Amino acid sequence: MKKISGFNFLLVIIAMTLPLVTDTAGLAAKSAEERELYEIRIPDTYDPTGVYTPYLADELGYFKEAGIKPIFTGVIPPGQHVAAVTAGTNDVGGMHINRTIVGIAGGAKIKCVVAQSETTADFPHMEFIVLEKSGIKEPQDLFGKKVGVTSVGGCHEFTPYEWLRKYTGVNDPRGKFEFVLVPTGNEETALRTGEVDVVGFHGHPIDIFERGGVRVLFDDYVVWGSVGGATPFFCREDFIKRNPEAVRRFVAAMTKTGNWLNNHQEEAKLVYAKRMGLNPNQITLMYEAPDGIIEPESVQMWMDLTLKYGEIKKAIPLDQVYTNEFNEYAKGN
Amino acid sequence: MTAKLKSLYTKSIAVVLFFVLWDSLARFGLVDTFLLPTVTSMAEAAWEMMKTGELFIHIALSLKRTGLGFLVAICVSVPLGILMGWFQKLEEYLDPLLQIFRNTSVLALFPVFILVFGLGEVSKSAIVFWGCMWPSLLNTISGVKGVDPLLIKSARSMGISVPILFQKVILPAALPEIMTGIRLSAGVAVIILVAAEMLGATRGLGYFIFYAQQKYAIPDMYAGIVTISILGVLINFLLVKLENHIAAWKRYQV
Repeated sequence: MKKISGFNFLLVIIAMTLPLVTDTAGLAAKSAEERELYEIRIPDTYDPTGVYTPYLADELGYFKEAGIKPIFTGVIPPGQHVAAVTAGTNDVGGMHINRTIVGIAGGAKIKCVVAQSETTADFPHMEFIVLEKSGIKEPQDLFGKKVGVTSVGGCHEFTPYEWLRKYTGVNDPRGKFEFVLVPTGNEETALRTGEVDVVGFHGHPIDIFERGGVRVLFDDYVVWGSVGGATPFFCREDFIKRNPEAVRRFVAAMTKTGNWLNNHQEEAKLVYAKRMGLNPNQITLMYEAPDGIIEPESVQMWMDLTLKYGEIKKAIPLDQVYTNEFNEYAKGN
Repeated sequence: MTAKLKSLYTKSIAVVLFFVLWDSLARFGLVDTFLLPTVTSMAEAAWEMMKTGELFIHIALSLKRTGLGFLVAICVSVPLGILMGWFQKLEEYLDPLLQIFRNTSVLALFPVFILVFGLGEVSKSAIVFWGCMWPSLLNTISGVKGVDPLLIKSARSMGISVPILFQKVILPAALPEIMTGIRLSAGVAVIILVAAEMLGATRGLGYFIFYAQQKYAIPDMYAGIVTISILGVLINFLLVKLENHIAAWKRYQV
Protein backbone atom coordinates (compact mmCIF):
# COMPACT_ATOMS: atom_id res chain seq x y z
CA MET A 1 0.00 0.00 0.00
CA LYS A 2 1.12 3.49 -0.78
CA LYS A 3 2.06 5.56 2.19
CA ILE A 4 0.10 8.79 2.66
CA SER A 5 2.55 11.64 2.84
CA GLY A 6 2.27 14.32 5.50
CA PHE A 7 1.30 16.92 2.95
CA ASN A 8 -1.57 14.92 1.52
CA PHE A 9 -2.74 14.14 5.02
CA LEU A 10 -2.90 17.86 5.71
CA LEU A 11 -5.05 18.40 2.63
CA VAL A 12 -7.50 15.78 3.82
CA ILE A 13 -7.72 17.38 7.26
CA ILE A 14 -8.43 20.79 5.74
CA ALA A 15 -11.09 19.26 3.52
CA MET A 16 -12.79 17.64 6.49
CA THR A 17 -12.87 20.66 8.78
CA LEU A 18 -14.01 23.28 6.29
CA PRO A 19 -17.73 22.45 6.46
CA LEU A 20 -17.63 23.05 10.21
CA VAL A 21 -16.64 26.68 9.86
CA THR A 22 -19.15 27.58 7.19
CA ASP A 23 -22.36 27.42 9.22
CA THR A 24 -21.75 29.98 11.93
CA ALA A 25 -23.92 32.58 10.24
CA GLY A 26 -27.17 31.58 11.92
CA LEU A 27 -25.88 31.98 15.46
CA ALA A 28 -26.53 35.68 15.94
CA ALA A 29 -30.17 35.38 15.01
CA LYS A 30 -30.74 32.48 17.38
CA SER A 31 -29.32 34.20 20.43
CA ALA A 32 -31.40 37.29 19.71
CA GLU A 33 -34.48 35.22 20.47
CA GLU A 34 -33.80 35.24 24.19
CA ARG A 35 -33.21 38.95 24.50
CA GLU A 36 -35.60 41.73 25.21
CA LEU A 37 -34.52 43.66 22.16
CA TYR A 38 -34.27 41.88 18.85
CA GLU A 39 -31.05 42.57 17.05
CA ILE A 40 -31.62 43.03 13.35
CA ARG A 41 -28.70 43.38 10.98
CA ILE A 42 -29.45 45.99 8.34
CA PRO A 43 -27.15 47.15 5.53
CA ASP A 44 -26.02 50.76 5.48
CA THR A 45 -27.09 52.77 2.48
CA TYR A 46 -24.83 53.35 -0.49
CA ASP A 47 -26.56 56.65 -1.24
CA PRO A 48 -25.90 59.18 1.53
CA THR A 49 -28.25 61.84 0.16
CA GLY A 50 -31.38 59.72 -0.40
CA VAL A 51 -33.53 59.22 2.68
CA TYR A 52 -32.96 55.71 4.00
CA THR A 53 -35.85 54.78 6.27
CA PRO A 54 -33.89 52.55 8.70
CA TYR A 55 -31.66 55.53 9.60
CA LEU A 56 -34.75 57.65 10.02
CA ALA A 57 -36.41 55.00 12.21
CA ASP A 58 -33.26 54.94 14.32
CA GLU A 59 -33.21 58.74 14.67
CA LEU A 60 -36.92 58.91 15.52
CA GLY A 61 -36.57 56.16 18.12
CA TYR A 62 -39.07 53.93 16.33
CA PHE A 63 -36.80 50.90 16.40
CA LYS A 64 -36.36 51.18 20.16
CA GLU A 65 -40.05 51.68 20.60
CA ALA A 66 -40.76 48.53 18.59
CA GLY A 67 -38.20 46.54 20.58
CA ILE A 68 -35.49 46.35 17.97
CA LYS A 69 -31.80 47.04 18.15
CA PRO A 70 -30.65 47.83 14.64
CA ILE A 71 -27.13 46.79 13.76
CA PHE A 72 -25.89 48.55 10.67
CA THR A 73 -23.47 46.31 8.90
CA GLY A 74 -21.80 48.64 6.44
CA VAL A 75 -22.57 49.54 2.87
CA ILE A 76 -23.58 46.64 0.67
CA PRO A 77 -24.00 47.35 -3.05
CA PRO A 78 -27.70 46.94 -3.94
CA GLY A 79 -26.86 44.08 -6.26
CA GLN A 80 -25.41 42.13 -3.32
CA HIS A 81 -28.33 42.51 -0.90
CA VAL A 82 -29.89 39.20 -1.93
CA ALA A 83 -26.55 37.43 -1.52
CA ALA A 84 -25.87 39.04 1.87
CA VAL A 85 -29.27 38.07 3.23
CA THR A 86 -29.09 34.57 1.76
CA ALA A 87 -25.65 34.10 3.29
CA GLY A 88 -27.06 35.14 6.67
CA THR A 89 -24.70 38.08 7.14
CA ASN A 90 -27.68 40.42 7.09
CA ASP A 91 -31.21 39.87 8.32
CA VAL A 92 -32.89 42.30 5.95
CA GLY A 93 -32.10 43.73 2.57
CA GLY A 94 -34.07 45.92 0.25
CA MET A 95 -33.93 46.81 -3.39
CA HIS A 96 -36.19 47.03 -6.36
CA ILE A 97 -38.77 44.25 -6.40
CA ASN A 98 -37.67 43.09 -9.85
CA ARG A 99 -34.18 42.17 -8.57
CA THR A 100 -35.73 40.31 -5.65
CA ILE A 101 -37.99 38.38 -8.02
CA VAL A 102 -35.04 37.39 -10.21
CA GLY A 103 -33.09 36.41 -7.08
CA ILE A 104 -35.92 34.20 -5.86
CA ALA A 105 -36.21 32.66 -9.32
CA GLY A 106 -32.46 32.00 -9.14
CA GLY A 107 -32.93 30.04 -5.93
CA ALA A 108 -32.62 32.60 -3.13
CA LYS A 109 -34.85 31.63 -0.20
CA ILE A 110 -36.07 35.09 0.70
CA LYS A 111 -39.40 36.85 1.00
CA CYS A 112 -40.48 40.51 1.02
CA VAL A 113 -42.17 41.60 4.24
CA VAL A 114 -42.67 45.36 4.10
CA ALA A 115 -42.76 47.96 1.36
CA GLN A 116 -40.43 50.93 1.16
CA SER A 117 -40.77 53.48 -1.61
CA GLU A 118 -43.63 53.97 -4.02
CA THR A 119 -43.52 56.00 -7.20
CA THR A 120 -45.49 59.24 -7.34
CA ALA A 121 -45.43 62.04 -9.89
CA ASP A 122 -43.27 64.07 -7.50
CA PHE A 123 -41.04 61.22 -6.35
CA PRO A 124 -40.30 58.86 -9.22
CA HIS A 125 -38.17 55.77 -8.71
CA MET A 126 -36.04 56.52 -11.76
CA GLU A 127 -35.38 59.57 -13.89
CA PHE A 128 -33.72 59.53 -17.29
CA ILE A 129 -31.89 62.76 -17.90
CA VAL A 130 -30.52 64.50 -20.99
CA LEU A 131 -28.56 67.69 -21.51
CA GLU A 132 -30.77 70.78 -21.88
CA LYS A 133 -29.57 71.33 -25.44
CA SER A 134 -30.03 67.70 -26.45
CA GLY A 135 -32.15 67.01 -29.51
CA ILE A 136 -33.83 64.11 -27.74
CA LYS A 137 -37.33 65.28 -26.87
CA GLU A 138 -39.79 62.63 -27.95
CA PRO A 139 -39.70 58.89 -27.28
CA GLN A 140 -38.83 58.15 -30.92
CA ASP A 141 -35.76 60.40 -30.63
CA LEU A 142 -34.23 57.69 -28.45
CA PHE A 143 -33.75 55.30 -31.38
CA GLY A 144 -30.06 54.69 -32.02
CA LYS A 145 -28.94 56.71 -29.01
CA LYS A 146 -26.71 55.75 -26.10
CA VAL A 147 -28.31 55.32 -22.69
CA GLY A 148 -25.94 55.22 -19.73
CA VAL A 149 -26.94 53.01 -16.79
CA THR A 150 -24.99 51.82 -13.77
CA SER A 151 -26.22 48.27 -13.94
CA VAL A 152 -27.99 45.93 -16.29
CA GLY A 153 -31.37 44.29 -15.97
CA GLY A 154 -34.50 45.30 -14.11
CA CYS A 155 -35.64 48.88 -13.91
CA HIS A 156 -32.50 50.17 -15.69
CA GLU A 157 -33.47 48.29 -18.82
CA PHE A 158 -37.22 47.92 -18.61
CA THR A 159 -38.08 51.55 -17.88
CA PRO A 160 -36.73 52.86 -21.21
CA TYR A 161 -37.98 49.73 -23.00
CA GLU A 162 -41.53 50.18 -21.77
CA TRP A 163 -41.42 53.93 -22.35
CA LEU A 164 -40.64 53.26 -25.99
CA ARG A 165 -43.14 50.45 -26.27
CA LYS A 166 -45.95 52.51 -24.77
CA TYR A 167 -45.33 55.77 -26.58
CA THR A 168 -43.93 54.76 -29.96
CA GLY A 169 -45.78 51.53 -30.61
CA VAL A 170 -42.58 49.51 -31.12
CA ASN A 171 -43.31 45.93 -30.18
CA ASP A 172 -39.85 44.87 -29.12
CA PRO A 173 -37.78 47.87 -28.01
CA ARG A 174 -34.67 45.77 -27.38
CA GLY A 175 -31.76 46.82 -29.56
CA LYS A 176 -33.47 50.05 -30.67
CA PHE A 177 -30.95 52.00 -28.64
CA GLU A 178 -27.66 51.14 -26.97
CA PHE A 179 -27.05 50.61 -23.27
CA VAL A 180 -23.68 51.77 -21.98
CA LEU A 181 -22.44 50.70 -18.57
CA VAL A 182 -21.33 53.66 -16.49
CA PRO A 183 -19.76 53.08 -13.07
CA THR A 184 -21.89 54.44 -10.23
CA GLY A 185 -21.05 58.06 -9.47
CA ASN A 186 -19.78 58.72 -12.99
CA GLU A 187 -23.16 59.24 -14.64
CA GLU A 188 -22.86 63.00 -14.77
CA THR A 189 -19.35 62.92 -16.26
CA ALA A 190 -20.49 60.48 -18.93
CA LEU A 191 -23.46 62.68 -19.83
CA ARG A 192 -21.62 65.99 -19.85
CA THR A 193 -18.66 64.66 -21.86
CA GLY A 194 -21.12 63.39 -24.45
CA GLU A 195 -20.13 59.76 -23.98
CA VAL A 196 -23.81 58.94 -23.56
CA ASP A 197 -26.93 60.80 -24.72
CA VAL A 198 -29.18 59.87 -21.83
CA VAL A 199 -28.36 58.76 -18.32
CA GLY A 200 -30.57 56.91 -15.83
CA PHE A 201 -30.74 57.88 -12.16
CA HIS A 202 -32.53 56.50 -9.16
CA GLY A 203 -34.50 59.26 -7.52
CA HIS A 204 -33.89 62.88 -8.39
CA PRO A 205 -30.21 63.94 -8.49
CA ILE A 206 -30.56 67.37 -6.90
CA ASP A 207 -26.90 68.30 -7.18
CA ILE A 208 -26.76 67.69 -10.92
CA PHE A 209 -29.81 69.85 -11.47
CA GLU A 210 -28.22 72.53 -9.33
CA ARG A 211 -25.22 72.58 -11.62
CA GLY A 212 -27.75 73.00 -14.40
CA GLY A 213 -27.92 72.37 -18.10
CA VAL A 214 -29.95 69.18 -17.80
CA ARG A 215 -33.59 68.17 -18.02
CA VAL A 216 -35.69 65.12 -17.31
CA LEU A 217 -36.57 63.20 -20.47
CA PHE A 218 -38.93 60.81 -18.73
CA ASP A 219 -39.38 59.02 -15.43
CA ASP A 220 -40.95 55.76 -14.37
CA TYR A 221 -44.18 57.53 -13.35
CA VAL A 222 -45.03 58.37 -16.96
CA VAL A 223 -44.37 54.75 -17.85
CA TRP A 224 -46.23 52.89 -15.13
CA GLY A 225 -47.86 55.32 -12.72
CA SER A 226 -47.45 54.40 -9.08
CA VAL A 227 -46.65 50.69 -9.44
CA GLY A 228 -43.19 51.15 -10.93
CA GLY A 229 -40.97 51.85 -7.99
CA ALA A 230 -41.58 49.27 -5.28
CA THR A 231 -38.49 48.42 -3.23
CA PRO A 232 -39.68 46.22 -0.36
CA PHE A 233 -37.45 44.88 2.40
CA PHE A 234 -36.96 41.14 2.42
CA CYS A 235 -35.72 38.57 4.94
CA ARG A 236 -34.47 35.06 4.65
CA GLU A 237 -37.33 32.55 4.82
CA ASP A 238 -35.89 30.57 7.71
CA PHE A 239 -35.19 33.81 9.59
CA ILE A 240 -38.88 34.67 9.25
CA LYS A 241 -39.82 31.20 10.46
CA ARG A 242 -37.53 31.36 13.48
CA ASN A 243 -38.14 34.98 14.42
CA PRO A 244 -41.66 35.97 13.42
CA GLU A 245 -41.81 38.41 16.31
CA ALA A 246 -38.62 40.16 15.20
CA VAL A 247 -40.02 40.50 11.70
CA ARG A 248 -43.32 41.85 13.05
CA ARG A 249 -41.47 44.47 15.10
CA PHE A 250 -39.26 45.46 12.19
CA VAL A 251 -42.29 45.82 9.92
CA ALA A 252 -44.08 47.90 12.56
CA ALA A 253 -41.09 50.23 12.94
CA MET A 254 -40.72 50.65 9.19
CA THR A 255 -44.40 51.34 8.51
CA LYS A 256 -44.49 53.91 11.29
CA THR A 257 -41.39 55.58 9.86
CA GLY A 258 -42.77 55.52 6.33
CA ASN A 259 -46.06 57.08 7.35
CA TRP A 260 -44.27 59.71 9.42
CA LEU A 261 -41.99 60.53 6.50
CA ASN A 262 -44.92 61.03 4.12
CA ASN A 263 -46.52 63.49 6.54
CA HIS A 264 -43.41 65.34 7.73
CA GLN A 265 -41.25 65.77 4.65
CA GLU A 266 -39.52 69.01 5.60
CA GLU A 267 -38.89 67.80 9.12
CA ALA A 268 -37.58 64.52 7.75
CA LYS A 269 -34.99 66.37 5.72
CA LEU A 270 -33.75 68.12 8.86
CA VAL A 271 -33.58 64.94 10.93
CA TYR A 272 -31.90 63.07 8.14
CA ALA A 273 -29.43 65.80 7.25
CA LYS A 274 -28.36 65.94 10.88
CA ARG A 275 -27.65 62.23 10.96
CA MET A 276 -25.69 62.31 7.73
CA GLY A 277 -23.89 65.58 8.46
CA LEU A 278 -25.31 67.12 5.31
CA ASN A 279 -27.19 70.24 4.34
CA PRO A 280 -31.00 69.65 4.40
CA ASN A 281 -31.38 70.84 0.82
CA GLN A 282 -29.02 68.10 -0.34
CA ILE A 283 -31.43 65.41 0.82
CA THR A 284 -33.55 63.57 -1.72
CA LEU A 285 -36.91 62.45 -0.40
CA MET A 286 -38.88 59.39 -1.37
CA TYR A 287 -42.53 58.70 -1.01
CA GLU A 288 -43.15 55.60 1.10
CA ALA A 289 -45.89 53.11 0.31
CA PRO A 290 -48.78 53.94 2.67
CA ASP A 291 -48.73 51.65 5.74
CA GLY A 292 -45.87 49.69 4.19
CA ILE A 293 -48.30 47.46 2.33
CA ILE A 294 -46.77 45.56 -0.57
CA GLU A 295 -49.12 45.91 -3.53
CA PRO A 296 -49.83 42.71 -5.47
CA GLU A 297 -50.25 44.65 -8.74
CA SER A 298 -46.71 45.94 -8.49
CA VAL A 299 -45.24 42.50 -7.82
CA GLN A 300 -47.32 41.01 -10.62
CA MET A 301 -46.29 43.69 -13.09
CA TRP A 302 -42.57 43.17 -12.45
CA MET A 303 -43.03 39.41 -12.56
CA ASP A 304 -44.58 39.82 -16.01
CA LEU A 305 -41.81 42.16 -17.17
CA THR A 306 -38.95 39.95 -16.00
CA LEU A 307 -40.66 37.05 -17.77
CA LYS A 308 -41.24 39.05 -20.92
CA TYR A 309 -37.64 40.21 -21.18
CA GLY A 310 -36.33 36.75 -20.38
CA GLU A 311 -34.74 37.39 -16.97
CA ILE A 312 -36.72 34.57 -15.42
CA LYS A 313 -37.87 31.43 -17.17
CA LYS A 314 -41.19 30.83 -15.47
CA ALA A 315 -43.44 32.78 -13.15
CA ILE A 316 -43.19 32.30 -9.39
CA PRO A 317 -46.32 32.22 -7.22
CA LEU A 318 -46.80 35.70 -5.73
CA ASP A 319 -46.98 34.36 -2.17
CA GLN A 320 -43.45 33.07 -2.61
CA VAL A 321 -42.26 36.61 -3.33
CA TYR A 322 -43.96 38.63 -0.61
CA THR A 323 -46.25 38.56 2.37
CA ASN A 324 -48.11 41.29 4.24
CA GLU A 325 -48.94 38.98 7.14
CA PHE A 326 -46.50 40.70 9.51
CA ASN A 327 -48.02 44.09 8.80
CA GLU A 328 -50.71 45.05 11.30
CA TYR A 329 -52.29 47.41 8.76
CA ALA A 330 -52.86 44.49 6.41
CA LYS A 331 -55.05 42.62 8.88
CA GLY A 332 -58.54 42.14 7.54
CA ASN A 333 -57.32 42.11 3.94
CA MET B 1 4.57 4.69 -10.81
CA THR B 2 6.46 6.43 -13.55
CA ALA B 3 8.00 9.79 -12.84
CA LYS B 4 5.68 11.52 -15.27
CA LEU B 5 2.54 10.23 -13.61
CA LYS B 6 3.96 11.10 -10.24
CA SER B 7 4.58 14.69 -11.28
CA LEU B 8 1.10 14.91 -12.77
CA TYR B 9 -0.30 13.72 -9.45
CA THR B 10 1.73 16.25 -7.46
CA LYS B 11 0.66 19.08 -9.70
CA SER B 12 -3.03 18.27 -9.87
CA ILE B 13 -3.97 16.84 -6.49
CA ALA B 14 -4.54 20.18 -4.73
CA VAL B 15 -6.62 21.49 -7.63
CA VAL B 16 -8.68 18.30 -7.85
CA LEU B 17 -9.28 18.28 -4.10
CA PHE B 18 -10.31 21.92 -4.23
CA PHE B 19 -12.96 21.25 -6.86
CA VAL B 20 -14.16 18.11 -5.05
CA LEU B 21 -14.45 20.10 -1.83
CA TRP B 22 -16.30 22.94 -3.55
CA ASP B 23 -18.67 20.55 -5.26
CA SER B 24 -19.47 18.57 -2.12
CA LEU B 25 -20.07 21.71 -0.06
CA ALA B 26 -22.76 22.69 -2.55
CA ARG B 27 -24.03 19.20 -3.29
CA PHE B 28 -24.64 18.18 0.31
CA GLY B 29 -26.31 21.44 1.24
CA LEU B 30 -23.51 22.74 3.47
CA VAL B 31 -23.66 26.03 1.62
CA ASP B 32 -26.62 27.54 -0.17
CA THR B 33 -26.37 26.67 -3.88
CA PHE B 34 -27.67 30.16 -4.59
CA LEU B 35 -24.33 31.44 -3.33
CA LEU B 36 -22.11 28.58 -4.46
CA PRO B 37 -23.49 26.26 -7.13
CA THR B 38 -22.15 22.77 -7.74
CA VAL B 39 -19.14 22.45 -10.01
CA THR B 40 -21.21 20.37 -12.40
CA SER B 41 -23.92 23.02 -12.78
CA MET B 42 -21.19 25.58 -13.44
CA ALA B 43 -19.63 23.28 -16.04
CA GLU B 44 -23.06 22.85 -17.64
CA ALA B 45 -23.49 26.61 -17.86
CA ALA B 46 -20.03 26.93 -19.42
CA TRP B 47 -20.82 24.14 -21.88
CA GLU B 48 -24.05 25.85 -22.92
CA MET B 49 -22.17 29.08 -23.58
CA MET B 50 -19.53 27.23 -25.57
CA LYS B 51 -22.19 25.59 -27.72
CA THR B 52 -23.75 28.93 -28.58
CA GLY B 53 -20.29 30.41 -29.08
CA GLU B 54 -21.15 33.21 -26.64
CA LEU B 55 -18.24 32.38 -24.35
CA PHE B 56 -15.70 32.66 -27.17
CA ILE B 57 -17.00 36.08 -28.19
CA HIS B 58 -16.46 37.28 -24.63
CA ILE B 59 -13.02 35.67 -24.44
CA ALA B 60 -11.92 37.14 -27.78
CA LEU B 61 -12.96 40.66 -26.84
CA SER B 62 -11.40 40.44 -23.40
CA LEU B 63 -8.15 39.10 -24.82
CA LYS B 64 -8.04 41.96 -27.29
CA ARG B 65 -8.50 44.55 -24.54
CA THR B 66 -6.08 43.01 -22.06
CA GLY B 67 -3.58 42.15 -24.79
CA LEU B 68 -3.45 45.70 -26.06
CA GLY B 69 -3.22 47.28 -22.60
CA PHE B 70 -0.61 44.76 -21.49
CA LEU B 71 1.61 45.06 -24.57
CA VAL B 72 1.61 48.84 -24.52
CA ALA B 73 2.37 48.78 -20.79
CA ILE B 74 5.34 46.45 -21.32
CA CYS B 75 6.63 48.54 -24.23
CA VAL B 76 6.62 51.58 -21.96
CA SER B 77 7.58 50.12 -18.60
CA VAL B 78 10.56 47.95 -19.60
CA PRO B 79 12.51 50.66 -21.49
CA LEU B 80 11.59 53.22 -18.85
CA GLY B 81 12.63 50.79 -16.13
CA ILE B 82 15.98 50.17 -17.80
CA LEU B 83 16.62 53.91 -18.05
CA MET B 84 15.58 54.48 -14.46
CA GLY B 85 17.67 51.57 -13.26
CA TRP B 86 20.72 52.85 -15.10
CA PHE B 87 20.46 56.60 -14.53
CA GLN B 88 20.22 56.97 -10.76
CA LYS B 89 19.38 60.67 -11.04
CA LEU B 90 16.41 59.96 -13.28
CA GLU B 91 15.08 57.48 -10.77
CA GLU B 92 15.49 59.94 -7.92
CA TYR B 93 13.42 62.50 -9.80
CA LEU B 94 10.72 60.22 -11.14
CA ASP B 95 10.32 57.69 -8.35
CA PRO B 96 8.11 59.77 -6.00
CA LEU B 97 5.65 60.54 -8.78
CA LEU B 98 5.55 56.95 -9.96
CA GLN B 99 5.00 55.74 -6.39
CA ILE B 100 1.98 58.02 -6.17
CA PHE B 101 0.65 56.73 -9.47
CA ARG B 102 1.23 53.15 -8.50
CA ASN B 103 -0.69 53.50 -5.27
CA THR B 104 -3.68 55.22 -6.86
CA SER B 105 -6.67 52.95 -7.23
CA VAL B 106 -7.90 52.40 -10.76
CA LEU B 107 -11.48 52.26 -9.49
CA ALA B 108 -11.12 55.70 -7.96
CA LEU B 109 -9.70 57.00 -11.22
CA PHE B 110 -12.77 56.07 -13.28
CA PRO B 111 -13.89 59.70 -13.73
CA VAL B 112 -10.45 60.62 -15.10
CA PHE B 113 -10.47 57.68 -17.48
CA ILE B 114 -13.93 58.64 -18.74
CA LEU B 115 -12.83 62.24 -19.12
CA VAL B 116 -9.67 61.42 -21.04
CA PHE B 117 -10.53 58.19 -22.86
CA GLY B 118 -14.32 58.20 -22.96
CA LEU B 119 -16.29 55.00 -22.65
CA GLY B 120 -15.08 53.26 -25.80
CA GLU B 121 -12.48 50.55 -26.29
CA VAL B 122 -9.55 52.83 -25.48
CA SER B 123 -10.67 53.39 -21.90
CA LYS B 124 -10.73 49.66 -21.13
CA SER B 125 -7.25 49.06 -22.50
CA ALA B 126 -6.08 52.21 -20.72
CA ILE B 127 -7.19 50.77 -17.39
CA VAL B 128 -5.39 47.50 -18.11
CA PHE B 129 -2.35 49.54 -19.14
CA TRP B 130 -2.42 51.44 -15.87
CA GLY B 131 -2.60 48.29 -13.80
CA CYS B 132 0.12 46.51 -15.81
CA MET B 133 2.65 49.32 -15.74
CA TRP B 134 3.85 49.07 -12.18
CA PRO B 135 4.93 45.47 -11.51
CA SER B 136 7.04 45.31 -14.67
CA LEU B 137 8.41 48.81 -14.19
CA LEU B 138 9.51 48.22 -10.61
CA ASN B 139 10.96 44.80 -11.38
CA THR B 140 12.88 46.14 -14.34
CA ILE B 141 14.35 48.96 -12.26
CA SER B 142 15.44 46.64 -9.50
CA GLY B 143 16.69 44.09 -12.03
CA VAL B 144 18.94 46.62 -13.74
CA LYS B 145 20.09 48.15 -10.45
CA GLY B 146 20.82 44.75 -9.04
CA VAL B 147 23.29 43.65 -11.72
CA ASP B 148 26.51 42.64 -10.01
CA PRO B 149 28.82 45.73 -10.24
CA LEU B 150 31.76 43.39 -10.55
CA LEU B 151 30.38 42.14 -13.87
CA ILE B 152 29.94 45.70 -15.11
CA LYS B 153 33.38 46.77 -13.97
CA SER B 154 35.14 43.82 -15.51
CA ALA B 155 33.27 44.33 -18.79
CA ARG B 156 34.22 47.99 -18.75
CA SER B 157 37.84 47.25 -18.01
CA MET B 158 37.81 45.45 -21.34
CA GLY B 159 36.86 48.76 -22.99
CA ILE B 160 33.36 47.70 -23.95
CA SER B 161 30.95 50.33 -25.36
CA VAL B 162 27.73 51.14 -23.49
CA PRO B 163 25.36 49.57 -26.05
CA ILE B 164 27.34 46.34 -26.01
CA LEU B 165 27.51 46.48 -22.23
CA PHE B 166 23.71 46.57 -22.15
CA GLN B 167 23.33 43.87 -24.72
CA LYS B 168 25.91 41.46 -23.32
CA VAL B 169 25.90 42.09 -19.58
CA ILE B 170 23.11 44.17 -18.13
CA LEU B 171 20.11 42.85 -20.04
CA PRO B 172 20.95 39.16 -19.66
CA ALA B 173 21.64 39.63 -15.96
CA ALA B 174 18.46 41.61 -15.37
CA LEU B 175 16.29 39.47 -17.61
CA PRO B 176 15.00 37.00 -15.02
CA GLU B 177 13.70 39.81 -12.85
CA ILE B 178 12.26 41.67 -15.83
CA MET B 179 10.43 38.53 -16.87
CA THR B 180 9.06 38.08 -13.37
CA GLY B 181 7.76 41.64 -13.56
CA ILE B 182 6.14 40.96 -16.91
CA ARG B 183 4.48 37.86 -15.54
CA LEU B 184 3.16 39.79 -12.55
CA SER B 185 1.84 42.41 -14.96
CA ALA B 186 0.11 39.75 -17.03
CA GLY B 187 -1.58 38.51 -13.87
CA VAL B 188 -2.78 42.01 -13.07
CA ALA B 189 -4.00 42.43 -16.65
CA VAL B 190 -6.33 39.49 -16.30
CA ILE B 191 -7.57 40.41 -12.85
CA ILE B 192 -8.18 44.06 -13.68
CA LEU B 193 -10.33 43.07 -16.63
CA VAL B 194 -13.43 42.91 -14.46
CA ALA B 195 -12.93 46.52 -13.39
CA ALA B 196 -12.04 47.65 -16.90
CA GLU B 197 -15.15 46.15 -18.42
CA MET B 198 -17.38 48.03 -16.01
CA LEU B 199 -16.62 51.04 -18.19
CA GLY B 200 -19.11 51.08 -21.01
CA ALA B 201 -18.78 47.45 -22.05
CA THR B 202 -21.53 45.34 -23.56
CA ARG B 203 -19.39 42.26 -24.14
CA GLY B 204 -16.33 40.64 -22.64
CA LEU B 205 -15.68 38.30 -19.73
CA GLY B 206 -15.57 41.01 -17.08
CA TYR B 207 -18.83 42.46 -18.33
CA PHE B 208 -20.33 39.00 -18.50
CA ILE B 209 -19.51 38.26 -14.85
CA PHE B 210 -21.09 41.53 -13.77
CA TYR B 211 -24.08 40.88 -16.00
CA ALA B 212 -24.61 37.33 -14.68
CA GLN B 213 -24.29 38.59 -11.13
CA GLN B 214 -26.93 41.27 -11.67
CA LYS B 215 -29.25 38.69 -13.18
CA TYR B 216 -28.56 36.10 -10.48
CA ALA B 217 -27.42 33.61 -13.08
CA ILE B 218 -25.00 32.28 -10.49
CA PRO B 219 -23.64 29.20 -12.36
CA ASP B 220 -22.97 31.47 -15.37
CA MET B 221 -21.16 33.92 -13.14
CA TYR B 222 -18.86 31.21 -11.78
CA ALA B 223 -18.31 29.90 -15.29
CA GLY B 224 -17.05 33.39 -16.21
CA ILE B 225 -14.86 33.64 -13.12
CA VAL B 226 -13.25 30.25 -13.70
CA THR B 227 -12.74 31.08 -17.38
CA ILE B 228 -10.79 34.18 -16.38
CA SER B 229 -8.70 32.14 -13.95
CA ILE B 230 -7.91 29.54 -16.59
CA LEU B 231 -7.01 32.30 -19.02
CA GLY B 232 -4.63 33.78 -16.44
CA VAL B 233 -3.00 30.40 -15.80
CA LEU B 234 -2.54 29.80 -19.53
CA ILE B 235 -0.98 33.21 -20.10
CA ASN B 236 1.39 32.67 -17.20
CA PHE B 237 2.31 29.24 -18.59
CA LEU B 238 3.13 30.73 -21.98
CA LEU B 239 5.23 33.46 -20.40
CA VAL B 240 7.20 30.93 -18.36
CA LYS B 241 7.90 29.02 -21.59
CA LEU B 242 9.02 32.25 -23.23
CA GLU B 243 11.22 33.08 -20.27
CA ASN B 244 12.90 29.67 -20.38
CA HIS B 245 13.48 30.19 -24.05
CA ILE B 246 15.07 33.63 -23.95
CA ALA B 247 16.84 33.22 -20.65
CA ALA B 248 18.37 29.95 -21.71
CA TRP B 249 21.77 31.05 -20.41
CA LYS B 250 20.53 30.56 -16.88
CA ARG B 251 20.70 26.80 -17.30
CA TYR B 252 24.42 26.93 -18.00
CA GLN B 253 25.18 28.90 -14.90
CA VAL B 254 27.09 27.22 -12.16
